[in-house]
Amino acid sequence: MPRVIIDDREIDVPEGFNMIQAAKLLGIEIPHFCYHPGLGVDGNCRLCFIEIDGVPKPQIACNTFARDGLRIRTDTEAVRDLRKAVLEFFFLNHPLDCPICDQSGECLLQDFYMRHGQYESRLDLPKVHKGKVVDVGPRVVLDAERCVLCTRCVRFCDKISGTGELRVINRGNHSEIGVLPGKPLDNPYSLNTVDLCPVGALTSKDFRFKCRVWFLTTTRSICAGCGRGCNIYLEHYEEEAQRYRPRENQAVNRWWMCDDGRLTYKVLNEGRCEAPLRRGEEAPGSEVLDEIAAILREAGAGEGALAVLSPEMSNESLYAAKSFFERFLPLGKVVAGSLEPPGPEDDLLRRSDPYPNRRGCEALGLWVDDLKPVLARGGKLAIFVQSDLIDHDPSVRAMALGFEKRIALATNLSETTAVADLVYPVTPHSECDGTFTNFAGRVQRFRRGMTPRGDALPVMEILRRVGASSGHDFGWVNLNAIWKEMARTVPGLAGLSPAAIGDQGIEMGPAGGLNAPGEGA
Amino acid sequence: MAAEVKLLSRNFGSPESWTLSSYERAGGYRTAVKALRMDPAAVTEEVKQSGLRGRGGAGFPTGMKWGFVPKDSNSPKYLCVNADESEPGTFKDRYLLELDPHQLIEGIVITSWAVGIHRAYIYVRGEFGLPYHRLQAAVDEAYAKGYLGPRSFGTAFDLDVTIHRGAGAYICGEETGLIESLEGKPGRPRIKPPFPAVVGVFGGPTVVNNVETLSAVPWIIENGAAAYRSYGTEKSPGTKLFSVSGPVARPGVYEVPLGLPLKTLVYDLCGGIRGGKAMKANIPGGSSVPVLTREEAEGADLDYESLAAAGTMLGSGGMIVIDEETCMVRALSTLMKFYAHESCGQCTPCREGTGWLRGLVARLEAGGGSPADMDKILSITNRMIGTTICVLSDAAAMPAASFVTKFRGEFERHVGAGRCPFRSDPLLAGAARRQDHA
Repeated sequence: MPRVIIDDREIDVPEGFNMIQAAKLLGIEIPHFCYHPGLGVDGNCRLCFIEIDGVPKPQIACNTFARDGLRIRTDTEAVRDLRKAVLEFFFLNHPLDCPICDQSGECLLQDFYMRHGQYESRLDLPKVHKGKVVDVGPRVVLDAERCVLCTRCVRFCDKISGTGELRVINRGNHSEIGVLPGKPLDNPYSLNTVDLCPVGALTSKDFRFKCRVWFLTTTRSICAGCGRGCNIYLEHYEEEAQRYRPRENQAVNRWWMCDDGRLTYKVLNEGRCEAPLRRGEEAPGSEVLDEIAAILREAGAGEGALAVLSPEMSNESLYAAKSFFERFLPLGKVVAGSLEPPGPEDDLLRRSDPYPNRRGCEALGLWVDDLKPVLARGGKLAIFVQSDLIDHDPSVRAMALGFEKRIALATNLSETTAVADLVYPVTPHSECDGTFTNFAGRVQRFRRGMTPRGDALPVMEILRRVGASSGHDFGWVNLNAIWKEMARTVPGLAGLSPAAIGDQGIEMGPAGGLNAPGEGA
Repeated sequence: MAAEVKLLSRNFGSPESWTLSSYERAGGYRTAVKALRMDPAAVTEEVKQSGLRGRGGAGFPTGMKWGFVPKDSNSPKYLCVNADESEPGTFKDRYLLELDPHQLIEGIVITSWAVGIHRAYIYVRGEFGLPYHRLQAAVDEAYAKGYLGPRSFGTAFDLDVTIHRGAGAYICGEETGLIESLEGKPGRPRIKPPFPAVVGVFGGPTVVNNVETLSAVPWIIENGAAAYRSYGTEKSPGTKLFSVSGPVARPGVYEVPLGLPLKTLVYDLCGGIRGGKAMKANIPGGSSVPVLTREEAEGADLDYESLAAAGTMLGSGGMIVIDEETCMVRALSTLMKFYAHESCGQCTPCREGTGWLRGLVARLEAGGGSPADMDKILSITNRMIGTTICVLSDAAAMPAASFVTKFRGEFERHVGAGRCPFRSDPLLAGAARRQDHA
């Protein structure tokens, strides 16, 4: 690794790192717009000037690569002057509409001006006007006047999504980002351009004007939209999820996520199951839990009981449910499966498996490819955990009705909860801690961001309480408690713990996977 | 006239000088045959020895540029002929293309042989009609004769030459902007390194040379480096074509040995200023170089070093002569309009700086603005020089800085009078104002 000296501090940096990356390792910010590690060097913004010992003129950091003995300075008078100068150039035609700009608060131009600009204004010419509220695609809006022409969005569509919808049109200070007639920005990854946009030029139709970003609370989470398990930030305000944003994880989603996945945050807000139900009517939670316990005591001892788990459940919920039902339905059957048809898949991120944790079900030996024969047998009792089978296949309704009693533990109201005698609300992954195992066998943590809706509880807590009311103490008081058990008993999870999994996830051991780790590993 | 030395322009007066038969009657293409029998390295060496420097504006030693092309490249190597002559005030390549296209083609053959290139592109400025047609006809003739194409001149050397017409953008004269445009993309210069000699057209090592540079190659190979060096100065050997415009008696293209006193070109060859007026200023190397005052110009010699010492550049040799009745503010305003229009818009200091300068100078020219604007212009130009991917930003900033520094009095008179003092009729001044803001 080459050793470089940045502001008199020595550091070994990986081969191929540029000085923006190297300085970041030391916590030094070199302001820049156009460079992005996922998009490479373009060199157009001219903001990242540094001084290099032995080189007479300041050079751009993005195009200065680490080599042994390279000595640079990021905070000389010449560098500070140039930053101010370039920021002033940016503001020449930039509208000062921060109060009505949706990017305010997470705008790099704002941030850089406050940190590196702060000059006396001497701009007294009329500004160049360009398109406002330009409808570039179904999910993205462009304000061309706010654009700093860093071309990150253009390069994303050229290099990452490979769709090439965006271009720089015209020349000089009339340059603007745009799409060609009849070719809107409509690729499955288009909203990444909004994340990449350092200013308020590209905004998300879904998010814009919903919430000022400084009101958002950010939680590290995992997208539950498909088997990829993109690492994300969940952002909420007043217990409403407002948006997902991708969180860098080079092993899983790099810096990106798909538009479909990004918009799945809506299920956290809409159609939620918030109160315990007895035949469709709200009922006190303790009564419903007691009744569930009573039904299990009656029906559970014999044959003909079925628990259907879902690949939407966390590893902890799956493990708790498996342990619980094996104890309370000793002659019954515990399976996990889905009837949802496969979604779109591509070479970038999207996986056809529409669930976040099929691999977790497989690791516990619960997965059943075809649920219908299992359901068609009927019996005394069916328990659906986070399972919305009927919504995906209405023919399953008759099968569900073939069971004498039906219990549902659910995050959202569905056709399945509609046929249940008893329903208890469950926290989705935004309201509890837990892990999913992605398609490649990577175990990834999500964290509780929001207060559980209504009476919702994590599955393991519901089952712990039901067990307690039947006189059995499962001891699953928190994530660490259940993980101690899982690490001991589940193949592939040996030696793992929430702390070991950390924020970037960790691959399951060899015994945990049915397949070898895939490309996402 | 005695001061002229016609090496590259020797055929300009011949009847139908642009045809193959005329060129061959004058001994044309013999040097290509000679070169194809030489060791390629010897050809390059001869050009190195001649001290030939790039005639497009930058003045980089040509032989050295050829030497940067890696010998062991796996991808094809290319020659790009920069015929996108668009520097304001420059029209010497136009003459070379119109009047002696075969000389250029011969230079292409020799250069390609020297560097090991089998595919050359000639990027011709979009607005060039006649030069293009004459060049295309010449290329067709050369193909028909077997000088181009497979087995050039009956040797084992293959060379294809393709003419590409630009669409009229100044920035496509910048070598990497040219390459982008040639590849079918918008002409936005590339970040360097890598330089074109390593990664150029279609990813292959590429030599980009100006028309005049390549047109000088046959003469050098024919007559030898020493003969070429007998013209010009020690550090600026050879001859250079100057295209002189402005209110001189005989504007036009003049080939003179480098080092010629500027006065000789302006007052003798061009016959001085029309109507017995005085020269006020001189832009010696195309609109992008710093302007000289009359005193500076009259003391300067036309070679790279002397003009650098005078604080300007030889550039493309596009000399713009300005007389005492021309408003320097208006002249600068015209230039700033050009650069703002031609900036590709990629780099922030250029995209915004050229527009800012244009706005400020236009306002001053129209009688607006304030005395503080002159210092503002100087500060802006200071921040535009050396801060961008290519030198268009510098090219806009240098004239602006030099005009304001050297002719500050004229700018101040505009502010003081609230109008252009060179226009006596206030109605006309108003009309000019409206026109400039249109």
